[in-house]
Amino acid sequence: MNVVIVGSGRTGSALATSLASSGHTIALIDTDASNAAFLTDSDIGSGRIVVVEGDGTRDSVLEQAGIRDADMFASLTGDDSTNGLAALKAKITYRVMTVIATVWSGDLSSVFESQGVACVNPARLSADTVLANIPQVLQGQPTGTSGD
Amino acid sequence: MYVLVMGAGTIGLPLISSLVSSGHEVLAIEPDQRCSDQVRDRLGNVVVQGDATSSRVLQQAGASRADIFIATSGSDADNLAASLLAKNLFSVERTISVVNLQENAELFEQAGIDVTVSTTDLVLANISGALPAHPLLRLMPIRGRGLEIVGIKVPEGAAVVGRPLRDLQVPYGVQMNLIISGAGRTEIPTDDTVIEAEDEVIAVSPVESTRSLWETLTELR
Repeated sequence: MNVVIVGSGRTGSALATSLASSGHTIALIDTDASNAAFLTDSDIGSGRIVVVEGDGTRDSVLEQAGIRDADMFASLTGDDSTNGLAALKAKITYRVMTVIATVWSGDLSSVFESQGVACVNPARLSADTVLANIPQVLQGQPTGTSGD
Repeated sequence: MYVLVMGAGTIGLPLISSLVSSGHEVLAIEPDQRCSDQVRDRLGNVVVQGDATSSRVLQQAGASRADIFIATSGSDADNLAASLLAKNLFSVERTISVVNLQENAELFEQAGIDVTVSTTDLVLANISGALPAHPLLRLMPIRGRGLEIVGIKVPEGAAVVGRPLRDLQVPYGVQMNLIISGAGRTEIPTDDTVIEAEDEVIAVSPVESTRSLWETLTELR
């Protein structure tokens, strides 16, 4: 599978690493290539991850990253609007089958999802994960009754 | 008419000012404190400081009763996000967005924005309008049809001056709709209409033929 990822921060790099280890080919776009510092030498040495420096909302950069042959696209920068624009381009202009974006705002998520972009809210995911690890006995209990 | 304007910068500010003076109810949403202060100083209490890509800010600005939402920020990503929120979440009837990068215009329209305005096009139109050496004004693209409305000024000494329209070698598909004389008289041209120097010809032209039409009308004798 050919995958294009915008945003090479922690999430982008982690996704790239795990997809590369299962044999997929990844182009990782970031305005600043040094953000890809989370990638290990073996990631880069594998030849499965290519870092493209540029603005992931621009046609020329997306095309350089091979979006025309991409099976999956993920926009994972810290900015909802940027992720929305990049993802809508991937979906509408380049007709990529699977398009995912991280979006913090619930309302923007529903707007982008109505256009076929799968949205993930990282804050909600973290909170849910934390919540799932809290012992059952504490959940749903009013605070201040259990002491320290 | 209640108009929400996102961004009070170089495009937003004069727009807000002109909407206010034509009597519309206007509210600007501007994230930058200095810019929003500037609007308040000049135009009164018609601005809130905030980020229009936040649905909470839009709601507080009364987006659900707005008739028009106009996005004018310098970020295409923010303009798209805010316009889609206005349209989908608050059911604003008409959404208009500035497109800073020409390449984004088509996507904006496909995503459901009603009208896009490309700043590059406007600047180019103004430049070509201001330079007498290039009397070609691209007035309006007709999207999706490969046509545009253009205005071309016939220079003094052009080969076409004094000749009727039927003699002109006009490119295929060009429709000349209006001739405005140097004195400001307007005329719907017929085959018998004679071109005069300083006439401005308004035509609908296939984009690829505009150059050739311009050459026909401006070539010197």
